[in-house]
Amino acid sequence: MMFSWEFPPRIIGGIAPHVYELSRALARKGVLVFVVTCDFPGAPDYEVIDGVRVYRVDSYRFPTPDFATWTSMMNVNMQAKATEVLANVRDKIHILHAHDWLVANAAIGLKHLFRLPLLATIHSTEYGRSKGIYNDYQRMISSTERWLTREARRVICCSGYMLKEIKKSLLVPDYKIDVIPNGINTSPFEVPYDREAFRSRFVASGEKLVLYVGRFVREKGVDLLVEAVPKVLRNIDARFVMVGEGYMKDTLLKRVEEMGLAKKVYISGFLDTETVRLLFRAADACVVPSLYEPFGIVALEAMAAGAPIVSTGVGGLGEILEDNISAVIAYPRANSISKAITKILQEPTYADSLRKRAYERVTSFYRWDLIAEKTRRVYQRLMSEHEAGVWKPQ
Amino acid sequence: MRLTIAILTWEYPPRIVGDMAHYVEKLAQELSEENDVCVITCHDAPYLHEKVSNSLEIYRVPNPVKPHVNVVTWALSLTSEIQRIVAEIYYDKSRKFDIIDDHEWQFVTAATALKRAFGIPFVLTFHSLESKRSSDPSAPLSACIKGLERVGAYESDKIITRSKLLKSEVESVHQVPPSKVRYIPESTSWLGETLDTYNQVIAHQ
Repeated sequence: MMFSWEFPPRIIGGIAPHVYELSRALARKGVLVFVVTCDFPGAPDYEVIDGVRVYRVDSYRFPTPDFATWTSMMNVNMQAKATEVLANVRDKIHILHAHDWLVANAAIGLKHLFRLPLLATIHSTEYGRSKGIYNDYQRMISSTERWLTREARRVICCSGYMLKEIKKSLLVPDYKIDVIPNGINTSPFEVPYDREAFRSRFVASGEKLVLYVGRFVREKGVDLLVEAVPKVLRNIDARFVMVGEGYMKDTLLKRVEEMGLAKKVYISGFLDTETVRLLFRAADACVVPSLYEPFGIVALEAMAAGAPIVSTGVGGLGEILEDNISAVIAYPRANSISKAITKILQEPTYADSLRKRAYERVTSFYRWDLIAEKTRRVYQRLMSEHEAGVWKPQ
Repeated sequence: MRLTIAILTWEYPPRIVGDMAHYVEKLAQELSEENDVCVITCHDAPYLHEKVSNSLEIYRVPNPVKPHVNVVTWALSLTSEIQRIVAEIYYDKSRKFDIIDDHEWQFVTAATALKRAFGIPFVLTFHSLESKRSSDPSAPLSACIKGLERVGAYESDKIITRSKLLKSEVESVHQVPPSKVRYIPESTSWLGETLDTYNQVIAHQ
């Protein structure tokens, strides 16, 4: 039984698509999966999605003093519903799987009430999200994360980089942690489309299309990319499409204006998923200039779509991408990034080899069925450890 | 009939915040003369188990999360620990509680889950209501507390109040039928009436 505070159609961050894809892939492998999550206008309280049984609970819609208090109140309802389900189908549920601190209260209580092994996936940590712990609010969340990882028999995180962060900020011992990367569903990137017609919406003929997708915040290194633009244009004609939102948007727009690049850099707001997917497929290069990245799903999307990648290889990105094979790794400086982009745009055969190797890599290591298989093995290990423990199944 | 009773309370001596600590202590002591009583409460010290007599045990648990930003997050993370303690008594000491007597809103969700998981009925004792205590009952935090009181008012099998006024307040604020709320004054028949309430609830199971 999985616990997640978001699940489609309620999508707030990366946990919703993760739980959606993982639970369905596990169900295809014959695992009986229950998901307990928050309600969403128009979504049913109970439904079965590709074999996954989804329960949506009233997530407390009244005003609360802060997000953490809302989370506590939401957990009350989540636990009440889950207890009811568990009491009815006690013999069918063998594992509790919690996604992040947001469901800690409910999942930990249930672990003890039903004596089931608890598994926690830590998608990110408060320490990493806010670059340190500075006030009591953050201390409370970090303490909750520590409590959850202490109560969990095993902990899953998405990269070697996160493994280090969890060990350092939450003091989780090594033996408890499994690294399982995020996955990607490549089929939406394979539907037929009219490439030229789509490209003409963004670039003139003869212009190359360079893509950035991500939040406009400092840690994504988006300002480095803007600074790299003039040097690329010196050698080759291109248009830079930047998709996202964030507090740096106005600064970026101003900087682009100052540099006289308004015609060459198109800063869009959020675009719908379908358009973004097509942009990945139509792009001649995709730049991921992050300075901090726990995993880097954007790289998987570019790889699945066949967009040659230029990246700084920071954090989890360095585990996904290999320099000169599936991407060009640049230093986090404008000069280096512009050189890498130029190389990809000027040498189509080189770009094609990157494209091909990246696609091979994404389909051989990051398919959801492979990720689900790894998760299933963790489930099995959890079960055998549990059976050897002092808690005898009832 | 000898009952096994679990009392959930957020204050119990030496942790004395208000009058409730003394009330619950007196209740636990007098009940334990003819019944088995476990008091599960919180205390900011390492886990502490105290056997007062053969029929009265006190379990004190610290909060697993520190610090907290308000009393609601404080109570709700503690709730999972309360659930852990009751589950440990249930599984490891094979003690089946006949009834849970929960005092105030702090641990109502512990009682609710225990009822659903183990089928233990629960009685909720109100000592006061948030909407009367708070200077601004419509403030978000007070609304959360009121919401938790409401959960308790609906999920419990019977509500006990210590005053007539509070009985009518509970009925109007939380819209529960008068028959669900019992006013038990502190008289000579106090203990008998409390036990009678427990027995009624158990018989109704």
